[in-house]
Amino acid sequence: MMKNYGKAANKLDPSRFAILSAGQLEDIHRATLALLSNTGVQVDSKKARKLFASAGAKIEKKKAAKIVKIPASLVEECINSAPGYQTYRGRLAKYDYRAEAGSYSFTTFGECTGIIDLKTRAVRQSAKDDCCQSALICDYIDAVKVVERPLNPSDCPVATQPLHNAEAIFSNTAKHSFIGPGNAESLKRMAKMAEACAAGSENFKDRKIFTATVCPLSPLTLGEDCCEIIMEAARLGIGLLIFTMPLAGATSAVTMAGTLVALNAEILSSLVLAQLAARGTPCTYGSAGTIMDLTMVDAALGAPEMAVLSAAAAQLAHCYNLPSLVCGGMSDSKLPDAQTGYEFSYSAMLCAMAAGNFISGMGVLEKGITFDYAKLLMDAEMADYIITAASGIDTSPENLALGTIDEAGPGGEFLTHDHTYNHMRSQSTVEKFDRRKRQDWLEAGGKDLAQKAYEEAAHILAEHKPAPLPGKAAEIMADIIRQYEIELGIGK
Amino acid sequence: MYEYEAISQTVIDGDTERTIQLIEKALKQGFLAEKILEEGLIIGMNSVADKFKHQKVMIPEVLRSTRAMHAGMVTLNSSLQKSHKLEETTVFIGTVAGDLHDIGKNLVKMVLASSGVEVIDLGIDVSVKKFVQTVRKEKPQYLMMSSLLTTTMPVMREVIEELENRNLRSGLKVVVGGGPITDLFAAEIGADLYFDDPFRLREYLMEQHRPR
Repeated sequence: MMKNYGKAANKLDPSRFAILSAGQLEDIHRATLALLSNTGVQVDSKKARKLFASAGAKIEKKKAAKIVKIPASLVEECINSAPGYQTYRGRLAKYDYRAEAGSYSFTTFGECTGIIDLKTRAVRQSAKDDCCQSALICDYIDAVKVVERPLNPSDCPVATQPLHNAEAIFSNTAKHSFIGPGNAESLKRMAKMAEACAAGSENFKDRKIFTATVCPLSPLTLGEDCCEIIMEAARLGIGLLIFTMPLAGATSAVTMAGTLVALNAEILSSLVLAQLAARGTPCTYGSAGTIMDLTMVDAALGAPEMAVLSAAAAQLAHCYNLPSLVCGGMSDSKLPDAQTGYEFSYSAMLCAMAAGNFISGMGVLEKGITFDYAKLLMDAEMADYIITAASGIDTSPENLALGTIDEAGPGGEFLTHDHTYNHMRSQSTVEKFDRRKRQDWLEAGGKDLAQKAYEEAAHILAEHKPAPLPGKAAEIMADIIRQYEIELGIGK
Repeated sequence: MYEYEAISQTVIDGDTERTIQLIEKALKQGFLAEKILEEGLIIGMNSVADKFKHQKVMIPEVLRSTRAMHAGMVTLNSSLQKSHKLEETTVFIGTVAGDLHDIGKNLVKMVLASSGVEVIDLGIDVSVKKFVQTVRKEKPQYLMMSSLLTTTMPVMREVIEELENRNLRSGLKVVVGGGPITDLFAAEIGADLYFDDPFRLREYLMEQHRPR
C-alpha cells in the first residue's frame, strides 16, 4: 500500500453526486444565518465575546449564559476570509496532502478510549503504546493521508494526555495529523513539539504538521477551552478542525434538516471566531452529527442518519469552499464482523461519493469508543474498493477500445492483446479480501478476513519504519512534556 | 552464467525479441542449447509461475512471458537433442460437448506449449465419441477436458465411463479443469488429475517428465 503514497489524489466532480439540491443547500444556509442572528450561540469565553462584539455581534444575557447573536453579513464575510481548500503539511514535504474540491481520503476517528488487544483479542483501556502503534499503521496505509488521532493514552496523566498523544503520533508517522489539544496552554506546548519535529525540512517554519481539533458543544455552545484554543491556534497560525457532534433527538432537533442547520451554525460560529482572531486561519469543516437512538438512549454511529448527515455536511463545506472531515465508516458492532463490514462500506462509500475530504471512521467499533486493528486494515482494503467504484467509468476513445474490440473480433480473446496488457493495472486487486477458489483458500489456512487483518497488523508493526525524526526532536518533545508536568505539579 | 540469467530475465519481462536475440548470441558463443533451456528459459518461466502463484503478476504478463519462452524454444529447436522428455509427452485437450468457453483451455495450451509440450487441441463442444475415438486412435499419455458451465460438467463423467467401458484407461491420465471444477468433483467422477491453474499442471508435468 505504501508504494502508492503520493499518487494522484482520488478526485471526483463534486457536482456529480448530491444529497441536497441547490435549493435545499440554500434553504439550509439561510436557516443557519437566521439561527445565528436570531437564537445565537452561547460563548463561554469573555475574550471571545469581546471579539464577537467588536465585530458587530450582539451579546445578550440569558439566565447565567452569555449569548452571542451573529449578523448574517459577518458570517458570510468570515466564510470568505477563511483560506478554503488547503495543503496539510507532513513532517516531510513528500507527505504533504492537498485537499481539493472533489478529492477524498480516509482516516481514523479520535479518540477511542478502548482497544481490542492485538495479542489477547480482549477489550482493554488504550495506552500510549497503542497510540504509537496505531499511528505507525496509519503511516503505512496509503488511503490515510492525514491521521486523526485514533486513541487516548489512558496510562498518562489526564492533563498531559494530548501532549503524550502528539508525541506518539509525531514519532510514528510523518503524515499530518488532527489532534485535540485540550486547552490553549497545551496547544502552545504542542506547537513547540511540532516545530521540533519539522526542523530541517523544506519550509520548516511554515510547516504546521498538525491541525488543532476543537469541538463546539451541541446545542449551540462554544465552551471556554474551545474558544481559547480557536484564538490561540489563530495566533500561532495553526489550522483548526471544527468538529461537532449533534445527536438528533437529544442535543439537536430530531429531524435531519434541523440537525444539519444546528451543526452548520456550530461550525460557522467557531469559524467566525477564528477569522476574527486572525483572518486567514485555515478551517476544516468537521461533522460527526448522528442520532441519539431513542430506544437505546445512546448515540448510534453506524446509523444511516450519520452517513446522510456527513454527506450533506461535505456538500455544505464544498459550497463554502472549505475542506471537510466527515464521519463515515464507523460501526456500532463490538467486533470486526459482518455488521462492521456493512456499516463501513455503505457509509464510507456515500461520503466518498459526496467527496468529503477526510472520511473519518477507520478502525472504529462500538459507537466510536473501541479501536480495532483488524477493522482498520479491513477498512483500508475496502477504501481501495471504494476508490475504484467511486471513480466511475472513463469513456475516452482509448477506454471505449473500439479498435481493440474490432481486432479481437467476434469469438476472439483479449488476454493476449496489448490493450489488455497496457490497462491491466487499472483493475482492482485484493490483499486480504479473498477471491481464490475454495481449495486454494483452504490450503492457505482457510482464514477469515478479520484473522488475516490481525496478522497483517502484527506484520506491519514488526516491519514498518516511519521516516525518522530530525536530530533532537525526541528529546525536545520529552522535555516539553516533563517541564509541563512539573509546572502542573504532576511531574516526577 | 550471466548469459543464462539475462535470458531468464527476458522471459520474466516477456521481451520476445530480446529472448531470441540473446539465445542466438549464446548459441554462436558456444553455449549448449540444453543448458540455455534449463538454466535460462525454464528458470525464467519458473520464476513467472511462482510470481503468478503468489499473485504478484497478472495473466497478460504471464502470457507475454509464455510467448517469449515459446519463441526461445523455437530458436533453440534445431540445436536441441530430442532427448528432452517433455517434448515426447503427448497431450490432447478439448472443451466438452455443450460448452463453448475455451479461454481456460487455451491458457493451458499456451502455458504447456511454452514449456515444449505439444498439445493437440480438439477444440470446443467436443463430443464423448470424439474424445473416446481420439484416445483409441492416438493413445496419448494425457487427455485433458475443460468445462465452464455447470450443465456441461457431467459430460466429463460420461467420457471417463466410456473410456472405462472400452478398456482405454491404461497408460492414460485423464486431467480435468475449468471454472466450476473442484478436486472433489474430479475425484468423484474418477479423473486422475485436477489442477486449478495451468502452472500447477505445468509443474506436475515438469516433475513427471524431467530428463533424468
